[in-house]
Amino acid sequence: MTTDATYDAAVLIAARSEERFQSRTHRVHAEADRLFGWLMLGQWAFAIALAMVYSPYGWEGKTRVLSPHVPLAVVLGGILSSLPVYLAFCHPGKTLTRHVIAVAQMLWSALLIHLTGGRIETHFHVFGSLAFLAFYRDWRVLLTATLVVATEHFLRGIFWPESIYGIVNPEWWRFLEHAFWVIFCDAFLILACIRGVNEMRELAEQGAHMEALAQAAWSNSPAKAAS
Amino acid sequence: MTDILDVEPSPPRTGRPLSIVHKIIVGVWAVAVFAGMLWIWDYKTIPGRASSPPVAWPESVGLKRSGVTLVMTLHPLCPCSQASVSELARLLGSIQQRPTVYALFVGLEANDAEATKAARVEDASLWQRASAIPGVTAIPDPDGTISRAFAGETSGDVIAYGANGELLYHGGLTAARGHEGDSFGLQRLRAVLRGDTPDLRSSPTFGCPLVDPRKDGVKL
Repeated sequence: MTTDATYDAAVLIAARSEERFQSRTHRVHAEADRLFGWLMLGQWAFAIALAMVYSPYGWEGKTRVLSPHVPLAVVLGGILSSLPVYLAFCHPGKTLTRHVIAVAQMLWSALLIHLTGGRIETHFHVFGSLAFLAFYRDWRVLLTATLVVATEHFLRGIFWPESIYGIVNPEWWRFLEHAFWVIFCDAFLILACIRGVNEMRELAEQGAHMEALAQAAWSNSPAKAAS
Repeated sequence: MTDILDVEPSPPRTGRPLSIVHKIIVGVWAVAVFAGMLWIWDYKTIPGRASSPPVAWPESVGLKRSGVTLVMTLHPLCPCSQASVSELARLLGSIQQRPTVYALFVGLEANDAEATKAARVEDASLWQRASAIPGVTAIPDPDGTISRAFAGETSGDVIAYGANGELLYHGGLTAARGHEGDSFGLQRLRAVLRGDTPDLRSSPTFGCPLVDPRKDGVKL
């Protein structure tokens, strides 16, 4: 094989490797999108059931009134899930889809924490969601999710500080303390994402080489000559 | 090269810019979600009507006072008060010298606790949770007479009296409606129970009103 032919083959293999990598990446993103699409619907149903069972009614003396939790779960939960579900099933694999899903997923944590009365246990939903978002193997999605958590805490810290810190005049940086544990979790998930992408790239390169070898073997085989 | 082992199809094009319709949809969605989140926190942080309990223990109520005594007024079906009861349990578990605590269940029929339990799970839940806390005595207050003596206005109101019957603290134990976690009210009551002086002796209470405002302020 001449030098030019070797160079051409290497270029072809590199191009094919990149194509395989992009294809696999898209498939990973699209599969995660669809999973999240179902999760969004599941969370919506769970929130409605939670509101119906846990706090269906509020009371004003002996007057029973519908708890705001029920319309909140139905309407806000529905709005929150609507766009991610649409994008997940109609535009899977797009960059916008996974970032909208990341935003919605973290806001689902906030809504579920609210519906369960701020239970500490429900706060684990945040960390479970981050781990699930790592399925995308796209660290930028984790940054979007973290930004949502930090912004939500920052705004609540300004407007309703006692609801989050237990005091009314916290230091401005207190939201960073809460965000720190999310960032701590992010650090490992981002590392896992980067490693996952590197492994996908290596697999794509190996696959492209194997294709090239198979192609060469086929080109030189008596079977092809006969055909 | 790909005619034999084309196991990975070519990726679809995903880099196309957003259409104007998608931009509008995302914008509307973001605004709606943001507004919904704001509404949640606005609703959760509207306190109940402030109470003005008597400055000395009302002997007429017939409850036995022993050392520092707390009275918590509760609506048996108020979902927000689950968090208040949780915080009460947490508080009592964190202090050495436990006070005497009465949980007044306004509107619950005196001999109806078991019937209520059978009929309404959520009702029995609050009653049983409160009465299961060591040192807490749950008392039915069907017509609100005892609660009225303490001027309890909101489910979750805690009124604390000292060993000499003097008012030490009144207010809630949560930072928002039905929201567990630390709060100014909790910190103040903890300070009172430890014999310290809190910065204030009252806090807002977040919970269902014991009074129906549509009935012109008539108490239960």
